Amino acid sequence: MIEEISEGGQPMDMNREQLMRRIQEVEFAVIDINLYLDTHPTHQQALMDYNKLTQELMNLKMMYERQYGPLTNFGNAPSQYPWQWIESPWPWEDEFTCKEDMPCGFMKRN
Amino acid sequence: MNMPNPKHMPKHIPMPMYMPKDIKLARAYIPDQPYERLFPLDEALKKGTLFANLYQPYDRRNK
Repeated sequence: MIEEISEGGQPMDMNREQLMRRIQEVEFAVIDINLYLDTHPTHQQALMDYNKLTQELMNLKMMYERQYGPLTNFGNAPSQYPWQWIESPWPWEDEFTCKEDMPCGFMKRN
Repeated sequence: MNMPNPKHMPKHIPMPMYMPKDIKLARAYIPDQPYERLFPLDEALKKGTLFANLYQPYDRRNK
């Protein structure tokens, strides 16, 4: 059973960094439950957790994109004027997505 | 066919009680993973798994 954890309070009060981190956390959990369900398709608790987190993930992404622009391009999210996709930082580009406790690629910004 | 000899199983993995009775040689059997001991989501992302049962990091000292 997924515990109710909401770091940094309600999504409405989260800043960009917290919102992005929460999206990463929820999306990762959903992937892992997805894999579990692939081999346990009738596990009701797993399915309930999956659906609950999927809903939360959709809400978080919608909230993020409304405030900070699209997370993905090629028709996955609408854009305000002017075209938002080329605005820095890209979702994976900002320093907050690459903390010292989580090694990952880092793109240089001007 | 007998159950696997516990002496040859890693100590931290409990002997599964739900192996089929007629296990065959040269076949791989994977114990059913219980849906339990889920990490908090922030911890899961850092550890690379949601399931505490699957969290078995390599020990850097054992080379």
